[in-house]
Amino acid sequence: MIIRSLLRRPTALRTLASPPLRCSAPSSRSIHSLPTLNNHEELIRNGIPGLFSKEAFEESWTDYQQYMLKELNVCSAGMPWEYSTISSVVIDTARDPMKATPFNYASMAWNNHFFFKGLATNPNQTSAPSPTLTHHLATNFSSLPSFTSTFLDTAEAMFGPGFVWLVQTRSANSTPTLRILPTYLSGSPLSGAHYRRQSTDMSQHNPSSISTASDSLATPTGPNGPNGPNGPNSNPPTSSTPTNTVGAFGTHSAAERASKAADKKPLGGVDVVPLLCVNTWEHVWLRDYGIRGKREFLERWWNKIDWDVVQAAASLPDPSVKGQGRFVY
Amino acid sequence: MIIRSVVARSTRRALSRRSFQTARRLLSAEVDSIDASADNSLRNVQSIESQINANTDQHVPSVDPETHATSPAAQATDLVAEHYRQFKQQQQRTGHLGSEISPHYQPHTLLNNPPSPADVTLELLLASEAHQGHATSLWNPANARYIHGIRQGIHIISLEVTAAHLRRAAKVVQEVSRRGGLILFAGTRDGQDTAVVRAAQLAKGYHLFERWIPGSITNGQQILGKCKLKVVNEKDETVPGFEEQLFERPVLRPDLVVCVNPLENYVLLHECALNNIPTIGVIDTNVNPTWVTYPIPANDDSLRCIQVIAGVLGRAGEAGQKQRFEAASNGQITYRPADDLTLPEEPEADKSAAPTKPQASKPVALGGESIENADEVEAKMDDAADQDGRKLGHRIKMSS
Repeated sequence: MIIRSLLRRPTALRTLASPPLRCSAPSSRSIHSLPTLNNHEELIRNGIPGLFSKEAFEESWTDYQQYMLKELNVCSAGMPWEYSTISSVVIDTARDPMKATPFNYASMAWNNHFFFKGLATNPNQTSAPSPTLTHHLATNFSSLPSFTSTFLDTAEAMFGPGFVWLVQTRSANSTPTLRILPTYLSGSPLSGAHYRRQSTDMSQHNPSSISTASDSLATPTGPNGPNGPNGPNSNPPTSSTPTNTVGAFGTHSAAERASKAADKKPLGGVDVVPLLCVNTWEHVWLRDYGIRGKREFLERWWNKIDWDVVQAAASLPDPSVKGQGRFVY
Repeated sequence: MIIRSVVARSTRRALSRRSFQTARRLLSAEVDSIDASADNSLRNVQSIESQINANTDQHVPSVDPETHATSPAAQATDLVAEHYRQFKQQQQRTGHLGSEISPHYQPHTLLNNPPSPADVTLELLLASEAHQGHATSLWNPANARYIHGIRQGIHIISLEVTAAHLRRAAKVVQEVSRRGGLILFAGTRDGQDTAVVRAAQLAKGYHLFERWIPGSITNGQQILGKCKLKVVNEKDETVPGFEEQLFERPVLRPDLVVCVNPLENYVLLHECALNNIPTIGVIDTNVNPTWVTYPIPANDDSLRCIQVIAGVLGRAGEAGQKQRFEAASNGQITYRPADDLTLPEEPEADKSAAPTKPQASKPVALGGESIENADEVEAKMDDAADQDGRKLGHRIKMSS
């Protein structure tokens, strides 16, 4: 009997990395609730004509966002970030692997809201990029059609779910630049959460995958053959061609200079400003476009971008007016 | 010849702000010429810098006019300001993305933005733990009328009673402050200082969060006699010229004392009672309610409760001050000015005027009923004060 009652008692130790228990919190109010979009009543009734049907919109916005926030409420109960905003939770939990679960939920909630906020939901208005934005896009991507194709091809080529962002950054001589940033799964573009940016597919971009690809032509031969002295998979994955490490260490090496430049990052995380994003998670486009419909979804989404939101988020100097390099306030 | 060449050099400059100093230049031409050439080179650099900034998008570091070097500190400050502005803009746009956060208790709001008497609800008082009294064995039976019941061995204060008494106290504070009275907010326990200071700031009153010096009212001339006095008009502007007359004036006393921990401030409350100064106090179940004139039955051990009560009374004082200033801007004075001060005029004008004319440093008080009542009350209090042997200096604001 004592043994049974011990087993019935909930375990005191439950790591945050494991999925939370499916228990409803006893009579506690939820801190995070579903935010409202513009024209949300019309969206609930009709979806977004030309992009989402009513059911697809309900699934990918209402249901998914509520699910993320519900799980986040469960994760945050009693934690220091219980009452913080979603972006604060993202930045505070990005660095600690033990806080991966609240990071994932918060980051997906933030990204999903950013995606739906950037859609032009008013069917009577067509949106086009402003002349300033067109100029900067053409400058950074050689032309507006090439920017379109680069963006959509990046999104299509991503294998697996994620987001693709257009971000504004700053080049070495402080001129604003625009870049395309993919974030896999629940990666965040926020500068403060760079530990979980997840901009590369780790199954393909890791040290062992790169080195074994280059070593496939030059297999090391020795007394043990291709395997190491302790059997297969014991040879360290190093290239057989010698590398010159002159200047790789020291105060003036590239690594030191990069770390010093990293220290000079602007305060407040303003070095990366997300302007635009597309949600390439399958549940968003599977219902309406089918298993092969990712490209069609992307092209339809391109016509539904609200470029005014992009312009408002960007702080790009007007090319027709000279002398805007100096900040005057 | 030297004069002519120096003048010519000065006029050739684009911004000739030194042209009026040509006379001085005559005396030390050589030193000034070196200075002038350095200035000239600096201006050349600055003009080149402004041209570059005007025509290209690249940012050129500015030259420090004193050391003639590019100061990284100044650039860093400019950059920090720009980044802060961008951060604030970004936060406004995307800071609240992802969810809507339901309203919840944020401790700093009780001090930064305290509730007003209209915001007092039973839910607010309950959430602030105002209902929690002490163990039943420690009670003062005089508080029986304020107690709702017993739970888990402690007395529970009735929140409707608390709310009613708090609203009454707020009305008293508002009226005293409307009539230009001096209000003292006293709270000497740990953690009560911020609440008491904030309430005094709102009500334009005075605060006390360290130990009350016994005798500050009954022996005020000794303890506070060295404090400076000043004369203010109806708009609270200091009127100069009364310094000699203020030397002989007795020390000031508060017109109302708000004490948030009466249990530790018995001496303060007793001195007020001896001198007919009305008091407001937060009365817990173990405190004697007769110590104060207007009790507020509530929990004095909870800082959140004290912050709510002090905030409400501070807001009431703020409303009273606003009414006083509005009346003053319309030419109405809500109090009776001090009648034993004479204007600091010229000696011959003073002799020609009637000696017993009341001073006109403040305009003649208008307004009907309230002033007459104030006069009656004033007369009664003067009688009481005369018995005490000292005049009360009501209408002069004491500077701390």
